[in-house]
Amino acid sequence: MENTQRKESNFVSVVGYLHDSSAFVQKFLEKVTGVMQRHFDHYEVILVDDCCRDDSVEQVRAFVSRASQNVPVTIVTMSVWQGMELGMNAGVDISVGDFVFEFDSLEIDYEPELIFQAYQKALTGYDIVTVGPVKNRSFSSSLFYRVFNASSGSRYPIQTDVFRVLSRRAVNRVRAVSPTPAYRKAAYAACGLKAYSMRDERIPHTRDVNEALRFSLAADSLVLYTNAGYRLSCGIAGLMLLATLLEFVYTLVIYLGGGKPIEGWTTTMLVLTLGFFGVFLILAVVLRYLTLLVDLVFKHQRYLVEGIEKIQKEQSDA
Amino acid sequence: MKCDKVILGAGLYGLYAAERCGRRGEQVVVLERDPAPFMRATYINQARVHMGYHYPRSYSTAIKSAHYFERFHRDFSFCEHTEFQQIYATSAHFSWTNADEFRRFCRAAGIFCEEVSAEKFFQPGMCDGAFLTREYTYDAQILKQYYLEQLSALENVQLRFSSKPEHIEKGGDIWQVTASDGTVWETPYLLNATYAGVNDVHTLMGYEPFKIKYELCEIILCDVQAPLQNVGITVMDGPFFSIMPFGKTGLHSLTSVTFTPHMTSYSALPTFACQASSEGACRPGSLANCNQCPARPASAWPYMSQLARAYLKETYGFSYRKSLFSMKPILKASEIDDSRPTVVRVMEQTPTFVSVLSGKINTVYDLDEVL
Repeated sequence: MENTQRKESNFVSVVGYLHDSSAFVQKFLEKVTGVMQRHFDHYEVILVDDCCRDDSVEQVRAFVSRASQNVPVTIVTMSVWQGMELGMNAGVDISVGDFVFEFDSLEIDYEPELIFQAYQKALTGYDIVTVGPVKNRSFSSSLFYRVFNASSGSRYPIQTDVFRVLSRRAVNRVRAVSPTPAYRKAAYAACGLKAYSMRDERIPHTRDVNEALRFSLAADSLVLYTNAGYRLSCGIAGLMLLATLLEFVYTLVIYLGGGKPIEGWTTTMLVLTLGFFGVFLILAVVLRYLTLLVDLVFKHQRYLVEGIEKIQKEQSDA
Repeated sequence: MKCDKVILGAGLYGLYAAERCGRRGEQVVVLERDPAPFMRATYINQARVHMGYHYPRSYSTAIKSAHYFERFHRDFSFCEHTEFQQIYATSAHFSWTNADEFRRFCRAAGIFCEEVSAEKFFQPGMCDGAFLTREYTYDAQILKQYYLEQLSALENVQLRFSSKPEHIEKGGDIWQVTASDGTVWETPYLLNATYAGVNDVHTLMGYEPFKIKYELCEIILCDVQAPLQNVGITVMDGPFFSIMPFGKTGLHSLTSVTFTPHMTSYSALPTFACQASSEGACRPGSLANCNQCPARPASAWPYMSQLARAYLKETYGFSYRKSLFSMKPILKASEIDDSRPTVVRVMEQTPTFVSVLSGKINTVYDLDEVL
């Protein structure tokens, strides 16, 4: 029945992140272009080469050369390694599709038709459709998402995704808020458009991830997209403030009550406690300023791009 | 038969040279392999009369274009369409330039540019600057009529269509050019103005080819809605697009940096897989007309239009009319700074053999020094 249906006339973009992904890239292209050719009149594939040290890029070229049909693949070569978030931002920026599929990982260990099903879901009125396993990847992921979701203030909780579909409107909206979002997942959830989370138990939730990288991203995102960091540090500053205040009161009581501690104790303590009170007060204010600065600065983050190349089929020399 | 000059190729460069020499009373023969003049690159391109805005990374190209722009306008205003707003915009992402640099560049090159609101034309966030510029478009068909009239008045100039050189031999201080119709022309001066065919001629004569890559390019002609009718838009400098009036045809040309070139050949002679399907008309060393070819590729309209629509506001609507294909040779040296130098090279002094290669219409005056 599928074959007799008209193909979708929407132009879609597939954006994938390429970083030493030679183990997956061929399979990825095979599966994705299969789905695209079955269901869409026109599509494009954009692969962000974030300084691959293996032969991922050659494999892409080989795939395009070998393909029976024309596969519109563009490679964005990042100048230096910049990580998935900036890399994927670059890929999404250059995409022109009415809908954009984001593949943070090229490993497709699930039914490729899910890709089209997610798109169909988007058509029913969701600007963002995320697809992932029922359970989060690991304990640390679960913990992160729990802290994040508790303090992000967004209507849509975030969790482990294998890919997502975005409408052009969602891409534009997120860009309007911040030209280069530091953590896309959070930016999409917070952009204010309708989101849908598709969970499928057939998607395995065990997969290798670079924990070190993810930890720094997790810390950054908590700082940038939630008030968890601010609340924590402000809380500590507040506690210290309170402690100094109590110490001050205690000293005052001793002093006025005529107690006789060691000579000079009360004056020293009065100066000390007042001083520290001031320090912690200023610290709390400074923290507030820092939070504001972070907000302003990360909105201006930019990436460096080395080149953009649309891959063509090789013309053999006669 | 004897003549003073044999010119290969009846594009603008060939006919310009023929007229200039014909007016001096020289006996001139133009050999053109197509059945009419201006059937390839002179017609099939953006039809932009370059002022230099295109080359923010190459001041020399920009300044030279600006200089020739005025001269071309004086000489050929009859074929120019000048009454439209030409907008240049710098893309917010992926551009090799930005609004500030573009402004500085225009000031340095001494060319007109006035900032307008990018919001008026583009989707929010897509362009960081938009500029009203002064640039025109020429109509190749009107220019063709002009040259055909001028040249038919000159009895000493012959245009030979459907005729290409089969052999070119040196005999003392003359060239013997055997045309495909069997005529042998003897001349002390041979001008190679065949553009994409330049290396075909070099190879035929045993000269070293120019270092060129070839791109099979598609120009899409569009019908446009009223708001776009008197507006031309060029987004630069990178993988972007341009939609601007196409001469006086009432249509707009749509091109994009990534989708206009369909195939690229890095061989000295244009070598493409589609030549096998050209029914014998085309091969490396003898390039047929891509626009007439049965093996022309499928249009990149879905991609080009999608790209343009991602940038433009919905008001600026446009729709597909037809596609034109032609071969574009690009000097390999010009990749980095994106310059488009005109190469006029005297390959041989006696008998004289000159090859010209230029990507722009208004640098035709570069020929003056060798004619």
